[in-house]
Amino acid sequence: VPKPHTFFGGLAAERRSALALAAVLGACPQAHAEAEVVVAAGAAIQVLQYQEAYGSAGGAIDSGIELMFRGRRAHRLRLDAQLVGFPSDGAQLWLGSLEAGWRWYPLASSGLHCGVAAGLLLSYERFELALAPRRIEDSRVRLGAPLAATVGWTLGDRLDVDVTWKQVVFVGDDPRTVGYGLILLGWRFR
Amino acid sequence: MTPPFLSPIGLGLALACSLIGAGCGAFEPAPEEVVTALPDVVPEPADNVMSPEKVALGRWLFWDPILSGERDIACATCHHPRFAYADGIALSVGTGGRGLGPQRSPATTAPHRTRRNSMTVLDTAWNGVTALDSPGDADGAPMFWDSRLKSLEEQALRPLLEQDEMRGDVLAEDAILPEVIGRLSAIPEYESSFALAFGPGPSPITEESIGRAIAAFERTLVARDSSFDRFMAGDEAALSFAQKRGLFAFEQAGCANCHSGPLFSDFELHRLGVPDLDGLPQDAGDGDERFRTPSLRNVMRTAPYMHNGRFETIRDVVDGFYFHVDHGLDPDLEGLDCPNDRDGATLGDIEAFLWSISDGSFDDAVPSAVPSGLEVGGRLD
Repeated sequence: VPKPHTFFGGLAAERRSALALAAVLGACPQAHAEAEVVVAAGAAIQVLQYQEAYGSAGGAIDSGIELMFRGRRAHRLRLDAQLVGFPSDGAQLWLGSLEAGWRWYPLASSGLHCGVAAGLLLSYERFELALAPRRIEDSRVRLGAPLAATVGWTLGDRLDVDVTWKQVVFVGDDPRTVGYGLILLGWRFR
Repeated sequence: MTPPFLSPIGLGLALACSLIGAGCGAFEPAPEEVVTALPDVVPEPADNVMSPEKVALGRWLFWDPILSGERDIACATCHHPRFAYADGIALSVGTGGRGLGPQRSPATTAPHRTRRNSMTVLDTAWNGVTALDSPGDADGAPMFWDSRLKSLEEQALRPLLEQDEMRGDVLAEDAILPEVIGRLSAIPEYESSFALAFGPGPSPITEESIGRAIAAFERTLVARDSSFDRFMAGDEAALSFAQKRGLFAFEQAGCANCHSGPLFSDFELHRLGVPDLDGLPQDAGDGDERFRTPSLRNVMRTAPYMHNGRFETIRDVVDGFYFHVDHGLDPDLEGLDCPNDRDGATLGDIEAFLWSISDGSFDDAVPSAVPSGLEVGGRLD
């Protein structure tokens, strides 16, 4: 039974929930009581917007939980909530996602890891144009599916440096993709 | 323990707040790069005030091939309502041709192909108007691709004089207008109509009155019920999300550097270096390789594009601006940030927006007959 560990109060509860989830899933045959909450922030570079070369810079915040289910440093289930924003002159694109993924730690002596994830995403897009005397603005929310691939390194058991490519496919009458790269620095709480 | 404000959460929240703040402002183009609705009033010259009689007479003249040297082509041949008062081909086929639009082909005599693409007559009543609150100058309105003439009155007569447009090979340039006046004077219906429109006098049928009547009719060829104009008047639902986003992209990409104002034209001459058509001599435009910015009103109905019809689609035009045009040729080109993916969504949204200024509400009536008894609109079959 892990010792209670608190950070901002809610994170402890989140960790307990994660452990409970692991038990329910039965995905942790070795019954490790280790679950790590990872909080990260970083930069995003939007390379594609609706299939077009784009190139705007943005930012990202991420909160994730990793659950071991086969060995201390082998395979892990990763659950993430992530918010990414791309503001530009007069326009913004926000992408909020919930994702589940698999992380692989191939070397016991190293924090090197890689993984893939998928989930659900809501995008919020807004633009505003001032054409005196008329101001034109509009926004829309769309549902999409993000697919992500990550490589990273955990330094000193605490600090994560992750590089992720994420491709979002939208559903509905405008099924055009958005693709962006993420560099996230995360901190692990146990 | 790491203080909260230095933790990734704290940094992330700070970053998110800065992002939100950075994205809050509206994109605000320079005042001279703003597009607007059409003005309510059509400017008209003091010496050619519109009247129903003039407009009715002008409509006949516009459709009657009696104005051409060989009585086989009318103004409407190359400015037909089916093609939004253009003709849908790169270079118009003048006198000697047969058929309409892309189907127009040589007839029995050698056809004349004009040097330039036929501009639409629609909304030319506002040529030269670059701001919504501008009164306009009907006497100084720039006409043709090189702005060589001012006013619809001057423009209306010019094709009659051109050998490759309406004059043909039989009559000399200084003989065509006296010949046309003679022909019209011999038709009682025209004689009475000119007298009604311009007042009874010794000779109401003159070069000036022919030009004025056609110009008066052309001033009625307006399309002022576009969804963009309705949106600008306050109808929020008139534009779709894609059209609004297209407008945003249109302004942001710099299209409005030149395509601004109510007509989506600055009515200035610009040097773009558009490639000439294969096998044809270089067109020097105004003499300095400059051409007037065309209006984008009804642009989606008036392909092909550019002074020589070089580009068949809007995507070809954007491709041309991105890949073929030297942005150093003209100061207004330097700020261009064209969408560089010809299949991209931004371009699709810009096209959707351009449909919002391509309004099908114009007068597309074709007269059933003209007083000369000739084929209405020339040899169109």
